[in-house]
Amino acid sequence: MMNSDGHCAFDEPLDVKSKIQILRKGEVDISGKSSVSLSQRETSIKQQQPLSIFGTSPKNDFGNNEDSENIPSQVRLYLISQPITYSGCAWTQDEKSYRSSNDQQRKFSRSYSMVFDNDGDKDFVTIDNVNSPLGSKPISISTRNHSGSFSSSVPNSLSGSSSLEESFISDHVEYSINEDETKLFIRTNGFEKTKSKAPTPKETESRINQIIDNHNTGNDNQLFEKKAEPKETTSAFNSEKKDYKFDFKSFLQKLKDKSVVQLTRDIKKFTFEISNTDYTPEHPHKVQSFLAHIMREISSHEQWKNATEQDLMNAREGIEKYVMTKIYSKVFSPTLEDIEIDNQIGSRIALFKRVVTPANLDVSARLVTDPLFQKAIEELKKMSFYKTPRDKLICVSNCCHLTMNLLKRSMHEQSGGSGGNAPSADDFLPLLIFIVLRSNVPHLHSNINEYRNPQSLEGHSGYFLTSLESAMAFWQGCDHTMLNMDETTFQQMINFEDVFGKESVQHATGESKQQSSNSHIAIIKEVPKEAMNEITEYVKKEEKSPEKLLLDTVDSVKTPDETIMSPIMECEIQSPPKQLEESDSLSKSSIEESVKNCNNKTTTDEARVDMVSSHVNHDKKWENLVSFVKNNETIFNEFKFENATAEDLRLKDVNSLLEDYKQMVSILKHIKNQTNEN
Amino acid sequence: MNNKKSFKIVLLGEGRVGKTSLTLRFIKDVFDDNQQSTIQATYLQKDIIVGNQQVTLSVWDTAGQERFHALGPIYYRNADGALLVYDITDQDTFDRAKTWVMELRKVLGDDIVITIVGNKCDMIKHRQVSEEQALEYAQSVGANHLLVSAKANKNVAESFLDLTKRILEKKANTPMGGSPQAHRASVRMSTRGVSGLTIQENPNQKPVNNRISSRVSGLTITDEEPKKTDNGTCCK
Repeated sequence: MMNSDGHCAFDEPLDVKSKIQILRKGEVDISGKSSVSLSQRETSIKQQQPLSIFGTSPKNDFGNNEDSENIPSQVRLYLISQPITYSGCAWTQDEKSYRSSNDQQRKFSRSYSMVFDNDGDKDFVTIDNVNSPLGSKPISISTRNHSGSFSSSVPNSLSGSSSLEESFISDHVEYSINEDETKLFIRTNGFEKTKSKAPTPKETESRINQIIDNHNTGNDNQLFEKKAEPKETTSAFNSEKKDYKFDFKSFLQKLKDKSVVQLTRDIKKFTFEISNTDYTPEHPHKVQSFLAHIMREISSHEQWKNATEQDLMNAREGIEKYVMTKIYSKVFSPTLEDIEIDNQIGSRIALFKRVVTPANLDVSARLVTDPLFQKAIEELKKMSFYKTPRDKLICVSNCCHLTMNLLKRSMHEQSGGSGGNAPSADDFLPLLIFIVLRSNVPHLHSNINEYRNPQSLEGHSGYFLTSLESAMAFWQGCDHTMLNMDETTFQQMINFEDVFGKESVQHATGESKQQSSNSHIAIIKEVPKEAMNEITEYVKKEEKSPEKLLLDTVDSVKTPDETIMSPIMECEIQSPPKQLEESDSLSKSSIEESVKNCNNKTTTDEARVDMVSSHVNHDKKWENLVSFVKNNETIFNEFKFENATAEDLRLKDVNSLLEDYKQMVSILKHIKNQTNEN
Repeated sequence: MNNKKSFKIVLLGEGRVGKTSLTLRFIKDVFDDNQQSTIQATYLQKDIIVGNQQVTLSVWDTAGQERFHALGPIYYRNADGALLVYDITDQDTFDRAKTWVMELRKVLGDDIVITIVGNKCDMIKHRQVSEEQALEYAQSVGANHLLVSAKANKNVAESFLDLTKRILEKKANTPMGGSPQAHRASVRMSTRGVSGLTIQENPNQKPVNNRISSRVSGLTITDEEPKKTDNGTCCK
């Protein structure tokens, strides 16, 4: 029944693509369904008629429906790869890899889920199609029936090419309405190479049942709970996986019991003590022996008399989590020395991040472009968001599992599916080291250097943590031989570090300009000699560092005109002319040079000639400038460093960056001159 | 005394000596073929029975490339045994193995049980390292030596068994309280605290500060005494 009552109306097809180009935002209107009466919804939940349409066009399916004419309107959603929240809805993502029983090929599936609030307003979904495993291919979502549970795949009309169809054939969308929230699940098997058998409707049903169950048991926030508890990635090879599930709540519940009042008192006393004393090297021992003590108490306690192994494990984890959360601020980066090491590692990794390529570590470049690689980085970054060692360790394990899967997959592909290869530490460690480099987790040292219950450090997680630790040690101590570099390059890189180090100090303390310009000279050591001379000369003339000048320019930018690239125009209006006589000649020659450069790049010469001649013709200068900008879109539309941070820069970028910069400066001066003459 | 024991064994050896295939061979002898999907060679755990003693072995693979050499100490701290792998057709790998042995002895003293295995013993033709030479060296450093072949499945499980047996013997000769768990409980998990794992077993022998590790700045190996915990429950 696709009537207006039960219709979970998505708007008419939205041209999301065009929106993405502008806003990267998709829009889903779910206001229609708010008209569904409560009773109807309840019935619908009971009915539980989730139907899945796998690999068939919705049209066929709906054709069987009595209301086939009422084919619901559709909205195109683009999958995102990051969990994001925006205006009352959140996407979360869950990745699973599994190996099907009858073939050797590994399959990956991703689930995306989104929760809308049913407040009747429009919900907006920010959608990023760049990182989506499906690329920019749209998924259409339509309502199945008024029960609100439905599944859909992409209609034929959208899957124009056969390849598109194949990648979508196993996509699976579930949509369910509950009393106060609406959930949307999109599962995609986008990674797999072969066409997979779609999950049976039964599976889908059980899944939806689960959702409803979760909801009905008051577990509304299940999607957000991940924030509090990192999720362990299901991995294909987790042979030691236990059926143990950590349950902090039940542990806390047990602690509330009156019989354990002595224990809780002890714990509170201890945490209070720790948080009110200065850190000493004895602390780790204290914490460990206290935890051991508490565990002994617990295992001999009435409350846990009939406890199973799992209950005790739960208690151990619970105690640790509780204590560590309480004393987190005391024991995380406890000493100045730790902070020092953290900073040292952080800056070193940031430095290497600019220059080190996968080849430096003999890591295959193919691995680095894999989506799993990015995922592993994300996972590792999460580490610093959690407070307890256990949670941190889960992040590390997840990261390493992903890395391992990545390696296995690539080996599998390389060997042509023959199997028999397994990633060894020889493959694993370099990749992990590279992941550490790319993720540059803040306070890595302190994050690793936790009070972790040593007993749980055996097994995979212990190995992974050790690997992470050694990856960190690698960046701490690596030299040119370890990075396949020659010594001079490496030294230059280290010099870079010194320069950057100095700069940051200068920014903080506002040291003299002279030094600052010197440091800039040092920076551009790498660039061609002529360019450097020019810059040096320029710096001398201006008595100002080039970067500073640029900063001034940027500062002066207020509300840029809609149509025109801003800095240029704003400078014309706002920048007071400075020292123009001095730099005039340089400016002219620079402009001519830049014009020459442009000549090489683009076709239209006239605009540039005009521009030079605009020295004479003031009236036309702005017009000319605009046309110059327009005609040289290749230069001006590709501000590829516009939003870049220092970390994004690589050594090889310096040349092009400097070139662009010089061009901008020359144009800037040109404009200044004109303003002055005006 | 029949408590379940758990030992950590590190695999050391240069990249091309066949550590991976050795590990894989070791696993394959244990697991079903169905479980192949779970295979990965970096870390493996395996229960074996030696005599009437059940032992859980954790085998830690290490990266063999020269450039990661300095990271070794991080991996082999707390290790009960080390399996050093070299390739009998490649003298260099044997020399690398020797440096590892020296390092292990420096850092961990006699507390780590070492077995040296020459892999690829099926390729006698291209042999570069003679058995006598290897045996002699092994004896001089208090290690056992075995010739193995992962390809021909020769001596693979035996080498692990041999190592385990000797670890057990070693533990048996050590006064109580030397259980590794008790030590580990007092070791702060850190790059600083590579401590304690050896001391109680051989009170007279203090681990020598590891000079090699100084290449990795910030990784200092201290020989601080482990805190004598009054923790009587070393084995759960």
